Formats: sequence, C-alpha cells, structure tokens
Amino acid sequence: MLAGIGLGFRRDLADALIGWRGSLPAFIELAPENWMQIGGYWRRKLLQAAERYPVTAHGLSLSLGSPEPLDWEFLKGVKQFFEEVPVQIYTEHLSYAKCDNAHLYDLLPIPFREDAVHHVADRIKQVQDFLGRKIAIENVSYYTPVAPELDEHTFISAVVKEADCLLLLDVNNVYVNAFNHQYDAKDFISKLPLDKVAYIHMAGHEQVSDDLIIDTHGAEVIDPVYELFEWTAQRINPVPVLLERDFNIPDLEELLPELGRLNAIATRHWDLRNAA
Amino acid sequence: MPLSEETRKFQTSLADYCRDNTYREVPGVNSDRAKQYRRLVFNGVKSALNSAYPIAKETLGKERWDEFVTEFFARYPSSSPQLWKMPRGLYEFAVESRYAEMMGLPYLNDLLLFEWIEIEMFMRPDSEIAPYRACQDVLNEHLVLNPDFQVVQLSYPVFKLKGADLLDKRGNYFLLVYRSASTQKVWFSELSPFVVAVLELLKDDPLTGHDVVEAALAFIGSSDETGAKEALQQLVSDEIILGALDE
Ligand SMILES: [Fe+2]
Repeated sequence: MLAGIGLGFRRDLADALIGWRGSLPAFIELAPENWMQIGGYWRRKLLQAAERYPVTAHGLSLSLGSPEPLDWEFLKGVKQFFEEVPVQIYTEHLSYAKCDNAHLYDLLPIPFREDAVHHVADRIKQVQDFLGRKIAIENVSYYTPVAPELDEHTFISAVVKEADCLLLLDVNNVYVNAFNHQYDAKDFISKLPLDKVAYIHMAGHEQVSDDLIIDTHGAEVIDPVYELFEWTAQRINPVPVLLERDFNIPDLEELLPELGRLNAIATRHWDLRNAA
Repeated sequence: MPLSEETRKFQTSLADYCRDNTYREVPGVNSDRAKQYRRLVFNGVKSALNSAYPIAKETLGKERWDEFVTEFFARYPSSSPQLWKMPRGLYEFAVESRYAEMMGLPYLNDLLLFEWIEIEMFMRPDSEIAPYRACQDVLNEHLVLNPDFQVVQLSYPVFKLKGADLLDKRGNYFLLVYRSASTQKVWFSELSPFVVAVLELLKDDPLTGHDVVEAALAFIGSSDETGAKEALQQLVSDEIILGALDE
C-alpha cells in the first residue's frame, strides 16, 4: 500500500518531477479530467511521470453531490483511463461541481440535509460498484452553509457510513472551515470516522478578511495547519499525505521543504516501513 | 431515496447564481459569502477562456470580451467535465447566438474556430499510425500520412491577419492544422489545391509518390510535375508525410 508524502502533478512541474531523482515526493496525484482522453505532448509527459512515480487520482468533475444522475459516459472514460494509467486510489469531493448538466468547474457546498446524505451515498455506491473499488471522499472547504439541517461532521460521517466509502481528510479544509464557521478544528476531526481516513490533503490558503479564509492552494502551508496534521496523525493509521499546490506554483525545489516537513511529522508518528 | 424538490431547488439556486450573477435567496446562505462562489466560479471559467482565445480577447477589447464571456457563461451550459474542453463552447455559442453579426465582426467565428482548433489538435488522442521509416525515394515509395491533421475551411484569413485588416478579405481559405509527430507541436499552413488533393489521396491508403503526383495533378487539372514533386518533398520536410511504409 502506498505511503509517504506526495505532490500534485501540475503541468508547470511536469518536467521537474519527471527528471527529479530525490525520494520526495513519494508519489504524485493527478486530476483524471486533465489527463484522460488526450494525446500528444502531455500524454507523453503523463506516461513518463507514471513510470517514475506511483500515481493517485483526485477527481474534479464527477460531482457526487449533483441533483441529476451521474454522468456515465464520463465514468466510463475514467475507468478506461485507470486501465491505461493505474492509480493507487481515486478520491473525489463531497460537493457538487455541476447542476442541471452545466459544469461550473468549482466545488459548491451540498446542503447538509438528510435527503442529501442518502442521495450522495447512493451515488457513491454506484460509482464504487461501477469502478470495482472503494473511493475516498474529501471534506471540502465551504464559505456558507446551504439550508442546513445537520452539522457538517454529522453529514460527512453519515455519508461515509451509508456509502461504505473511505475518507480523504483535507486538514487545511478543516482549518479553513473552522475559522470561517467558528468551530473547533480538533473537536471537528475527532467526530469524524477516523478509521475510514485513507488519504490526507495539506495545502495553503489565503485570509482575505477578518472573518474569511479562501482555500486557494496558492501559498505555503501555515504552521497551525501543520500542527493540526500532527495532532491528527496521532489519531489515525498511516496514510498517504498529499501536498496540494494549484496556483502560484514555484519551482520544485521550493516545495521540497514543505514535503520534508510533512515527512518529518509522518515518520515521527507513523512507522512508514509497515504502512497498512 | 431521491433528493427532495426543496434541496434540489436550493442547489440549483446557488449554481444558477454562479452562472448568471443573479442572486436567489436560499435559507441559511450568507449572501456575502455566496458572492465568493460566483467570483471563484466565474474567474475560473474566464481565465480558461482568456488563455484559450488570446487573439479574440485582444480583438474584442476588454469591455466587449467581458460582456461576451459573461453572456456565454450565463446562457450556454458547459457540458464537458473537462475544463480544457470548455472553451469550445464559446465558439459554439458565438455561432448559435449570431454574436459575430451583432458585434459587427464578421470574422469572429473563424477566429474563435482557429484558436480552438489549435488546442484541440494539441490535445487530441493519438491516432494509430502505420509503421513507417524515413523516405529515401519519395516517388517510388508508399507514403504514410500524418493522421493528426485537419483541414479547416474559413471565410477570413484569420491565420495571417488581424482585426480591421480582415474585413475586405472575405473568400475561401483552406487551412491545414496538424500536429508534428516528432515534437507534438501544432502547425498551420495555408493549403494549395495540390496539397488538398494529396491529403485526400493519402488519407485512406499509402500510395507511391508517383501515383500521388499523377492523380493529384489530374485532379486539379495541372501538368506542373516539377512543382508537384517539390511540393511533395516539402510535405515530407514538414512532417505532413511521415515517411515510407515499412513493409
Ligand atoms: Fe483537498
């Protein structure tokens, strides 16, 4: 099973990553939407990278929270892509990115409601059945609740339980949400089904006002998020940890200290040689 | 259990707001915070369009481009899960909504198509290619065509002129768009009738250079064999003909 610290595979970093001989990152994560059903230049880079690193897939457009039916054409494409480029795990967001068949290419918050729990869990089950594997769903950052009837942690836990899926715990998102919605991050994490955590995301963000943080993935991870990760690492089994950097992408060398710091925390609390 | 009508409506309200910037009240939603969603969604779409269509953006100027993009996103649902394919919709929207006429820019559709085709050609899945080797004797070998090409018919020469210079150039232009098999870069070239005929002839079967020249010349009613052989050699240099069939 995959372990260690990974990095998002972005086009800006492709050549550097393909040529890099260091031990970190231990794996790369890519968005299938950006790499499936393409040829030419980027297809070649993709295959070179996949030869060099274990790959994980983090989807953007499956839109598990959409009101309308799943996009089976798209899912077939994803399945085919995974046959060409095998991935260790497929993760998606607990959100919706499309509505009435119009894609928005961003993550909108699902209303934390009972009917939505059943609706989303059912869709996750359909995806898992079709792909023949469990997927991990990510707690997303959100800026406003939408007609909520449940707490966020109750909603997430109920979906994971009903769908019998895994959880991608984005520690930065917990931090961002705890700040924006004024709750306690550790208390929140402790209420999640931690035995289902299969993957962790770490990222930077931007505070845009006194009471609002935007989850930009465009800056370094801040100390309190590292601390929250360290606190979390002591409460879960060893899992792959991914550094997300989607904007203001610097040279690979500049990201290495962040990977190193995550690795130091991970090895302090987890025995990565026997990672489950 | 299906989603309740109410939950569905709340989700649709937020999504519609992101698309058309008309706010709809939803219980529990902080309208100031909801603005962030409209901003993030629209910026993401707009920046993808900006990088897909740099020439159209420059030609329209900031105000008209913003209006065009805003209208498009509000009115034209994007059906592709892949963000890189989304910009194609702007071209389709322009054609369907007769935007070119409305703006008095008759060459707009051609320009959008030209910019989109480059992206599509760069990204499109690899085609299967018959086994080939370098040409040694073009006229006597069976020639293998690069399958990653497309011929585009345009009414304005948007591939060589810009803006007002295009207005009096309405005509029939054939543009070859192809992806180099060695560098994977996309190239354009304006097509002569001879080359159109060659592409047509080689598309289905590898023929010898001799047969191609003969048939293509007959097709266009010309007897310029020297010119034809030079043109054929040029197609080899340009990697439009990849090489000789490796039998
Ligand atoms: Fe994340």
